[in-house]
Amino acid sequence: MKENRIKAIKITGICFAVLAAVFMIVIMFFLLAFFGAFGYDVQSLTLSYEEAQNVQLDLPFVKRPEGVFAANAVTVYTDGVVANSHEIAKGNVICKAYSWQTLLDFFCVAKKDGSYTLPFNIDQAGEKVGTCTLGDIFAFEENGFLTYYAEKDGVVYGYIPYHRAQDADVTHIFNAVFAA
Amino acid sequence: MMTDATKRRIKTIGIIAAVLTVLLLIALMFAILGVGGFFGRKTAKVEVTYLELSNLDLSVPLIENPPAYGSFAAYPEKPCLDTSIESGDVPCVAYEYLNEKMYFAVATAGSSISFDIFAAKGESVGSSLALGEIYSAQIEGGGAAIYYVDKDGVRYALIPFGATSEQAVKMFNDLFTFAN
Repeated sequence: MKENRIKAIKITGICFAVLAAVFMIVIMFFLLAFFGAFGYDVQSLTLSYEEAQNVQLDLPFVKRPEGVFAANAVTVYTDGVVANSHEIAKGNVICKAYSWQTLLDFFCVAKKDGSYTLPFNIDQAGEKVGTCTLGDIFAFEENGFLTYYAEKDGVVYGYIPYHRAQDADVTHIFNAVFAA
Repeated sequence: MMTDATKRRIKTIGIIAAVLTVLLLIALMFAILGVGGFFGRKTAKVEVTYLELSNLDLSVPLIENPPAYGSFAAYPEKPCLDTSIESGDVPCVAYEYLNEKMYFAVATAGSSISFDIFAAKGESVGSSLALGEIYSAQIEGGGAAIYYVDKDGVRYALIPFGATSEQAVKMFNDLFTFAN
């Protein structure tokens, strides 16, 4: 073979090798991103109770309830901003509300001045239906769902009975869940 | 001019590089399949249809007449690969079902289903032809009741949403019928 031809083959081989390596690296990063290694852009994030301890919450975090009021996961909500899920989990993003649900109930705790998007509206005036350790409990009905809430120090504690009949003991539920 | 030995060396290096690239690609492919869940994921429950449920290795009786739509969750004794559960290699000790009208579960004590049906202790409210005495208890907080029967170390539990006691007993009887 001529020297020039050999040199050309050599250069082509090196170019292919470099391109293949770059291609592989790109694919690797693409796969990592695809499977969420770099996080997702979200406004709310569902975490375990243990993971939720690290989130920067601008409101009190109630102790994990016991028994039928407990859930395995809690969803935290940013203040209406889209943020990376890893940043939220690491506590670099301020969250203004959180919620969890069980087989029978939906619970949420939200700062009054936030612009989060909860799955239910808790921002309506209601009628007083009872009293708990947080203060008075109010109730209003929307889209067939009865919503109960109590307010304390600019924070709304909401409760929606998904699957309880209307004679649920709301005071007991509020005290059992939010008082701790 | 290159000597024959140099040419041979370049050839050998080329072949080795090609083989290594192929091996790397194969490894990458397996890695992608692994990350993508092709070889299964460790899980504590699997979501299945009634037909899939009937093909699992169930250590509890399977109901004969399932609700018309919706999916079941089956639970192995300990977390394991979902592919092993689905192929019937791992026995499932419980299954449960939820729709907007009811929740029911068939489970052996100690299984980690989503609702603690074993906490209930109630009074007899009727009897089931297939299973015996049906007991009912109020769920903490009121407004919902659980109906259950214990037989041969298995608890059959139903939580009807918004049904009267008579309706619940009828639902219980309709639901918990077995092929043998």
